[in-house]
Amino acid sequence: MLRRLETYGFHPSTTPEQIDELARVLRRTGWFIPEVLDSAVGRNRSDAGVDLVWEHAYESPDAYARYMCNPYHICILDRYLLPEAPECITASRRELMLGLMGYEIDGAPFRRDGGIRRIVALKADGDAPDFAAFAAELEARPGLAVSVVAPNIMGLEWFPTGWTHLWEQAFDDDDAMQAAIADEADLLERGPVAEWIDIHYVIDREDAPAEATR
Amino acid sequence: MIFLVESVDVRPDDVDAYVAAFETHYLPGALDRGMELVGCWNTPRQIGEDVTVTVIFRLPGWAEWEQIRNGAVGDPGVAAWVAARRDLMLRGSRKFYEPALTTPAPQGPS
Repeated sequence: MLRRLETYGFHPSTTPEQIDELARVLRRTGWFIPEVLDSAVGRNRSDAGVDLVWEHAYESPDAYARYMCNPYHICILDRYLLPEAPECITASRRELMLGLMGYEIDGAPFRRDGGIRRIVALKADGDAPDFAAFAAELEARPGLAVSVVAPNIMGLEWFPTGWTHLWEQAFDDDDAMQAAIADEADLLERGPVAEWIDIHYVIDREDAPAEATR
Repeated sequence: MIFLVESVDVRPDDVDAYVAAFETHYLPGALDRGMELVGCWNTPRQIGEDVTVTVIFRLPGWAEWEQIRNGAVGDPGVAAWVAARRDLMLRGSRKFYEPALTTPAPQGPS
């Protein structure tokens, strides 16, 4: 499975209604492109300079390639996201290197119907001998409903010095998140991590009408 | 085959600058990437309303457009075009069309 995360910032002139509209079309992408799995959006609540997050997945690189050529992607998503489209509302946040991230994994342990999602983007210390052991320690932390640490394999063609690893987390609610991450900053500080940043949001999913009535 | 149809409203005094920016910054790279320009038109300038400039490109298909689109990402001409257009555009839209008729449209009397 390919787990994929896109984050967006917006032009100052973008209205809340336009952002709502983009969130709706992203959330519903799986209704129109069957290759897009686990599509959900969220408004980032961390200090990182991104506003909207789209989380989703594909079964394989072939599924991703079919998504790229799908008319819904080209006609609808690109309307808001592609800079050369007249109605594009997003603004570049290249300096954050958070625009596109993702990883490969067996199965879908990230899957959640609701609650809180948190993504910690990490840059492994280049001199650290064994990041894998530290990643295993992170994954085993208590109090997380989802805890996946994996190498980031996406967006690196644009951001070669970007985030090397992702720690995808999920929690039932904000209290659970705050309890689980209380000492996390200290842990990351002591670990083989040169830099890190987090985003977190309420998972906003919308099942297709046919699925909702099953 | 599909068609990319882009319509942008500009002030009458900005039509020439808009078309020049399109021709300078966007069109050369677009043609290099395999887009075929069908035409570029504008509504009349002297009728007391904003002018709509419409450009139509013919594209081989959805998969080919995906390649063309990706090829444009690193093109500095596209970035220059987007910046120039932002200063001139009042509003605009881009839509893709598939042929609706499988036979040529009937021609009027010659």
